[in-house]
Amino acid sequence: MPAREEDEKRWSQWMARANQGDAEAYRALMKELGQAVEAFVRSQLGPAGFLEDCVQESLLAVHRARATYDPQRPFRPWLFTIVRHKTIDFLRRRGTRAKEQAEEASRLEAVADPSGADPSASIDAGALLDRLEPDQREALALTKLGGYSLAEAAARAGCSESAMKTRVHRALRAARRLLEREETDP
Amino acid sequence: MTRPRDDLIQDLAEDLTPVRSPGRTTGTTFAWLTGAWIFVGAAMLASGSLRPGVGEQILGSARFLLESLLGLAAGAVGIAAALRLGIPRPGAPLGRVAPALALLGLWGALQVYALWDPLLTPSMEGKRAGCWLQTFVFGAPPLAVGLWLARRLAPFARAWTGALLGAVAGALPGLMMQFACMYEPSHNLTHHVAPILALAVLGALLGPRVLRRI
Repeated sequence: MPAREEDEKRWSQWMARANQGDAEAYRALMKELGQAVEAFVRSQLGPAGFLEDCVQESLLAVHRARATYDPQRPFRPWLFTIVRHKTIDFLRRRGTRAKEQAEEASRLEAVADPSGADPSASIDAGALLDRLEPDQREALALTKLGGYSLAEAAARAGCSESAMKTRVHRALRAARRLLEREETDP
Repeated sequence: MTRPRDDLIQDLAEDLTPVRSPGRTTGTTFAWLTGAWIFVGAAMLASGSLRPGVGEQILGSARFLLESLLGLAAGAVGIAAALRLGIPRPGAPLGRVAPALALLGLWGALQVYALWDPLLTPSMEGKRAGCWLQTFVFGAPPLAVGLWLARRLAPFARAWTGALLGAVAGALPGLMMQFACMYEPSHNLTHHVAPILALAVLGALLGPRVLRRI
């Protein structure tokens, strides 16, 4: 049996047992899900510094939504619907975390090309970003992944702050649509 | 700073409680439909009688009968779709509620079409005072119960869920008014269909506030 199908069967059984109150099965499940979610988020967004936060928020969401898992249905589509939603939700809310953003910005400065080349190039390795329009991709990479403020991102992109705000909004909407369109799980 | 993942998993495992009927909304759907129809029917009868001769009107007009059945089906499909939005599944929310929206839209479109081709001979017979308010008020408790039920699920599209719950909750008394109040197409639209839209808007506004963020 391929590893993917084995995972599917094992996770489904663990979740069914967890929903009957089996904490051991739940611990084992969450541990494996943590790794699967991490791989997914990394594949979509690249090696972002906030990966662990995003993974943990997704695990929390799985925990809150566990009553909605029907053991008669496949586990992976259920899981990755939650994870996709949480990934976008996480990106959307990231703009409010000023301190964390500042830390990310410092990190970005350190890894960015010192010659002043496009700083988003160092962090936009994810599949999700690759599928966005170039200006949306840049907006998302700078503000949500890189941690720049709207004003800083606008200055770097050579547009007004309000234009940057619009680009970020559209990028998040496009990202959500792209993820929702994925009928198959990763 | 992020805590170690193992600590989080340990906490979640300690918080684990058994779940009854995981992932199923069929029972909830039937319970809501039954309860809502009993409530709306009782409220309608307690606040006045049905339109005189409505039984003969239904049996004497295939279109009236079919339109009523369509309204019933739209309500059932609508509540099922609204609750199923609380189960995480791939696909955009709009696509998942499309059949329910199509049925509700078709029922609404037939009410508009009646302006040019009335279902029955328009008459003031059976006119209820305050039918707009009654439709709205009788639909509000089913909306509240629907939101409470959806709160226990995991709806990501909370505004859509609220709007659909509002539309379905309003459609029940809206449909009952077809049998209870006077029949006149423009009155029907402004006094029986408009409150349905008002409840849908109310649901869309309440959804993001009342339904829990997963």
